[in-house]
Amino acid sequence: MSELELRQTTVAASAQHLLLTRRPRLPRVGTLLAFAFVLFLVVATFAPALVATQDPNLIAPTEAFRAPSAAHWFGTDESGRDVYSRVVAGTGTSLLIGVSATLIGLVLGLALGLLASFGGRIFDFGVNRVIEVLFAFPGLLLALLVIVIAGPGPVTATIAVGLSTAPGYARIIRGQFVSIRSAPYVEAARVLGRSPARIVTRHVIPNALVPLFVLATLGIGQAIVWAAALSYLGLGAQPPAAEWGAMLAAGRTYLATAWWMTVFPGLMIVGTTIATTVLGRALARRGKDA
Amino acid sequence: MAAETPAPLLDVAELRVAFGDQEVVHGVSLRIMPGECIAIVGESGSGKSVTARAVLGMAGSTAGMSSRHLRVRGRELGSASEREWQRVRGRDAGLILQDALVSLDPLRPVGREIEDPLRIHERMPPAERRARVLELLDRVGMPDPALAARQRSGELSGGLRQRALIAAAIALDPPLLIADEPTTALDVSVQARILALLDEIRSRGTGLLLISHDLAVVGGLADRILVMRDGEILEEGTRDEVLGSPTTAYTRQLIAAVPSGTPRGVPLVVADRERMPTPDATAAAPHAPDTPGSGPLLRLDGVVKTYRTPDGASFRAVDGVSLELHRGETLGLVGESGSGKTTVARLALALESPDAGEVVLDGVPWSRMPERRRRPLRHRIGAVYQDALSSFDPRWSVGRILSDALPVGSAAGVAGLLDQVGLPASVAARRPLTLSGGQRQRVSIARALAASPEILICDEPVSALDVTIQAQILDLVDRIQRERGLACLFISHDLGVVRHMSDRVAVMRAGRIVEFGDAERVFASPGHPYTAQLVADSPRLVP
Repeated sequence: MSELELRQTTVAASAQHLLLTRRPRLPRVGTLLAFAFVLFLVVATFAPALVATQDPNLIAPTEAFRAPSAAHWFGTDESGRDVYSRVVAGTGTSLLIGVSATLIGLVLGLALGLLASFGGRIFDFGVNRVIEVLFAFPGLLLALLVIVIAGPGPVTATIAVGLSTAPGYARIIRGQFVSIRSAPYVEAARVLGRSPARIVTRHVIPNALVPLFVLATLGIGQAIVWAAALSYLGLGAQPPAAEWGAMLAAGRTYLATAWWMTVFPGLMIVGTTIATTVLGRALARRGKDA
Repeated sequence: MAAETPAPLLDVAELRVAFGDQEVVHGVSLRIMPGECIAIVGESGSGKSVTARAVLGMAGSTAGMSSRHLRVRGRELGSASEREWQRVRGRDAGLILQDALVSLDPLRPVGREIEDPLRIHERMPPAERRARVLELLDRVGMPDPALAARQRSGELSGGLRQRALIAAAIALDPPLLIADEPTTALDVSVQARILALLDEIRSRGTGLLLISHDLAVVGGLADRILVMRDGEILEEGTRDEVLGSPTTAYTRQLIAAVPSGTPRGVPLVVADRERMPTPDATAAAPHAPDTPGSGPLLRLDGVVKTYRTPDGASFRAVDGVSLELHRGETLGLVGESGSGKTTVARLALALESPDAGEVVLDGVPWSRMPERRRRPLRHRIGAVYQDALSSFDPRWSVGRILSDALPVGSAAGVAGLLDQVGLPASVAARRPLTLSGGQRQRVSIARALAASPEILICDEPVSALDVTIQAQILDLVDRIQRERGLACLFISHDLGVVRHMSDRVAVMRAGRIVEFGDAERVFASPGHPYTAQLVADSPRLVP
């Protein structure tokens, strides 16, 4: 059987070689669009003044509830604030929550995964049971539980989302480590007389990290949605702050008359999730080729 | 129709197959009469499999096909539609593919798979169909047809799976049977039985088109042999003509590459034979004397290794094996799959520790010492694996793999290693994935040599390679073993390969060594019935 596998890989390898040498893979249109969108988000995060049209908190009662127009691209809210500028201003908060929640999840997952795969049988058993218990709760429910204990606010919302994504990462990371640890090339390194520490740092971690990075990119989108959901429920960023979830909650009351107050922040959440996911998938494809 | 000379079952003239603008089969002509076996022999990429598929209209939707004529049982099918082909396949011609595991649906019982052609082509009541399936399974020599019909393909061994596939192919008694590498990846004894079965089917008047990369395999069965290379038929003739007096250099090269029958020390690559004219009789049987006063370099003393099977039972993979490997000798370990050969290699490499008995490396208790103390000594044993690709870190280039294996990595050191295994220094920049199978195995050998080992353990190093590439790798291992005076443990299921490579040989079966001794003696006059059976089953070139 292994011969067949070998033949298949040989065929795949030669096909891939042809592809690499003859036709350099061009990024797809979707990937380019996603990249442009993420670039916009990055600018909006670090230099909102560059893309915003006015002060997000500038109150102008006479301008309240204006529909989208040349002056106010995304319209205005009940206090006459420019929705577009508020969406831009909210990018930083929303992204910060999404990225840091993913980082928290990854670091926790990495720690748990490492413990399970290298800590011996007892740790593996223990960590796996903990992961299974955490898995029994829907992710958002787990986040709500954390907030009930720690109280609402953007920081606790971030931690809550991070904690609730950790079990998923931990399980995947453990699987990666376990499969790489028994890979023939790790065995070959043992035969060469390499120490476990060297094998882990040179072979296991680098080979596990590539898919992990892809996974994290895919995870950011989900974390942003969850963080926005918590804000929408009033458990994350609080209403006066320009945060997408909080803006959704604030606009909810006027949905029938001023749809733009909810639709545009909503579109931003959807767009960000799609863009990061598309980029994550593009990275995954590249990872497979390399 | 019966009165005239029988019409050929398959008559193909100037078959051309192209993928895109690249033609891979350049005008192949062949003709098969009832009861005749035609073999196409060539290495991978020669176009032999594409030819076999194209004559059944199965070259794939991306293939462009043309021919002067393509007749199956006298019917012109050169421009047949897929519907017409479907009527031909199964009824007029059966196809047997190399790997039965992927050719059979893993989720359906084997009996159902064999029923398929009966259901599609014949109107037969279900009860009769099932009876026919049992009859077919019995005919292909399935030990328990009723049981096999209920099993799924994953539950059958490789040999039985191949039989099931043959049963499906002959279900409708097609007058023509096409077999593409039907025995590759099977053990010799299983291979011998499958070939005998094909021969029996042929003797009943079925025409057989046999595709293989190994001349020795087709030698016993084929009436005519077509040697194919780069999409062209290089040579064609009766078996005796092609094997006895080959006219092209390439055929001579293919014949020479077959290791069985070539004495130890004679290169398998023809071009190298001239350079090294006569094998040194003394070199052929070195039995290198150990330095006085010291024992064998590696000794396995009654080692036992037991594994637990998923259902809780225990399985004794190695059952009291004792072996001695001396300096400068090649010890061959031969046996069928599952006989415990690889476990012996893993025990020798101290990747597993024995449940009983011990492994001793040059007087040091190798298997008993803790890994921490063993690690600094590991450089004394190098290993070459069957699947070279998966033994390389996928992220590393050849250069990094080799410089990591060297005690002091340097570009010059890497180039030196590559040179020793016959690869240009430019390979260092490439990833193993972009190398051919033979090149990968060369890199694998270079890595094993990097730390200047005294022992080289090769576990099936050539079983995934074509005969011509196999010949190069075997020559390389043999040369390096001699030049460096290495003690080599050479493991293979292929008797011919082991015989060609080894000074002494151990025959393994079900975890035990059943015969041990001088390689020539063991194979010329086997002392154990199992060895005798293995020798009898091994395909040989000379009829």
